[in-house]
Amino acid sequence: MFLEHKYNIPELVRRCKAGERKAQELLYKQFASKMLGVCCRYAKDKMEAEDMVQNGFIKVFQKINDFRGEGSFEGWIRRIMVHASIEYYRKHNRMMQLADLEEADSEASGNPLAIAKLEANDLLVLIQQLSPGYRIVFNLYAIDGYSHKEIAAIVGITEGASKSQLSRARSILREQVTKMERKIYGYAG
Amino acid sequence: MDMQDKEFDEVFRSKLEDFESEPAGHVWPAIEQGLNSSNKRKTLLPWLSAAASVVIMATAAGVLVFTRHGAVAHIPVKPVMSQTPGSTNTGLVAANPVHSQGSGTRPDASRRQDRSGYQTIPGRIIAKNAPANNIDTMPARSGVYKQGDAGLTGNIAHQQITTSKAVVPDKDVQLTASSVTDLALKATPDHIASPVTAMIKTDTAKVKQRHKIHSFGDLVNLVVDKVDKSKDKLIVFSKDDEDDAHITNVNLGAVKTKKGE
Repeated sequence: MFLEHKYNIPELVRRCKAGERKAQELLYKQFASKMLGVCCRYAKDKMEAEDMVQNGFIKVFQKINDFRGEGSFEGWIRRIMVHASIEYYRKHNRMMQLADLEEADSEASGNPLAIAKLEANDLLVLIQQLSPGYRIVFNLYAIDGYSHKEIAAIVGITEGASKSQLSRARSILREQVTKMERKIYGYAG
Repeated sequence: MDMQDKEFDEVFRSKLEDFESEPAGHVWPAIEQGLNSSNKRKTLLPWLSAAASVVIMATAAGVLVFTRHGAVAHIPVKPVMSQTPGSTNTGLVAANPVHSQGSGTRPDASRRQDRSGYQTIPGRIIAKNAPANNIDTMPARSGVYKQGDAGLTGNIAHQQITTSKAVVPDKDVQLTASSVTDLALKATPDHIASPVTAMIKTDTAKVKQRHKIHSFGDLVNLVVDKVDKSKDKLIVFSKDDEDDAHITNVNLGAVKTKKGE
């Protein structure tokens, strides 16, 4: 991508804290692709993900003075992106649209070996097809490693709701994986 | 089943955790723009709040000036005051029943007018002003009896006070009293109406205190005082100068708290 060489992150952070625009741009270029990768999982398509990244980076530069250098900067900026993605849905009032979802086929097994053959892009498409509520909970728990307690706090739902949404999300994904495998590899079942 | 779920999640995690995608070229300019506008907001905010407080102060001042102005305009006392002690028996007399009794110099006709004057006053106002009237008139009488001739100027001053209290609608009573009080104090020799002046002085002090605005709390107190005439105000801030915005009294109907003064 943009980068010809790596920048010294602590130095960039220091300059960003001083409000230096050039440093902000360099920091953005350093992390933009990774963070768009994060937001893509939370969004329904790339355009929405770019909006989330945009909001997230504005937050990053506004709050950069809060970063004390404890823990990795990438972890910090990643958390801000996750929050920005959830905030995006909260703002657009699409947080918990669960009803309009196609019923999951509970019989779908989702053969792990078969899933393993799917490419990252295929899996991403499956996640993006989930409704926002399921997508957010699945991402937070399965990929970003948040606990149900943390999810409940971040999303503003109960732990029970988080658990049930996760299991619903999984069963939908299993079904979709099976469908996709059939389509791609011509499996009989 | 649990294991299977973990495996399932693990497949997604391993493939998507480090997923990257290059953003379109318009994203950075949009971020820059967002940062610029948020900076502008930050620099504008103090100016906006300053402007807002100026507007509040101006409005409060306007309310004060207009209510004071309006109150004075409605009092029949004003023409009387310009008439000086020599010709007291016009206009003013009609509105002052108590004093005419006290001095004994008023014709009966005026007393009848007084009665009608009282009847037009809403009962609530009379009730509210009753103690004030008593306090004002009692010393006035004694002043007259003791001092004889010298009582004239004092009487007029008292007249003005009692008049304004009896006639003016309760909303304006205190303000009017304060404006009349200054004149009354000048016109009244201290030895005649010392009890009255004492009363007046405390009254004036109260009024003046109300008008001192040192803090946000004072401003709120003033505005609430204007709007809410009940004994337990909607909200009252402490009058302590040290304490900036310390709520001492809240009355929201169902919710009532009151801290000791």
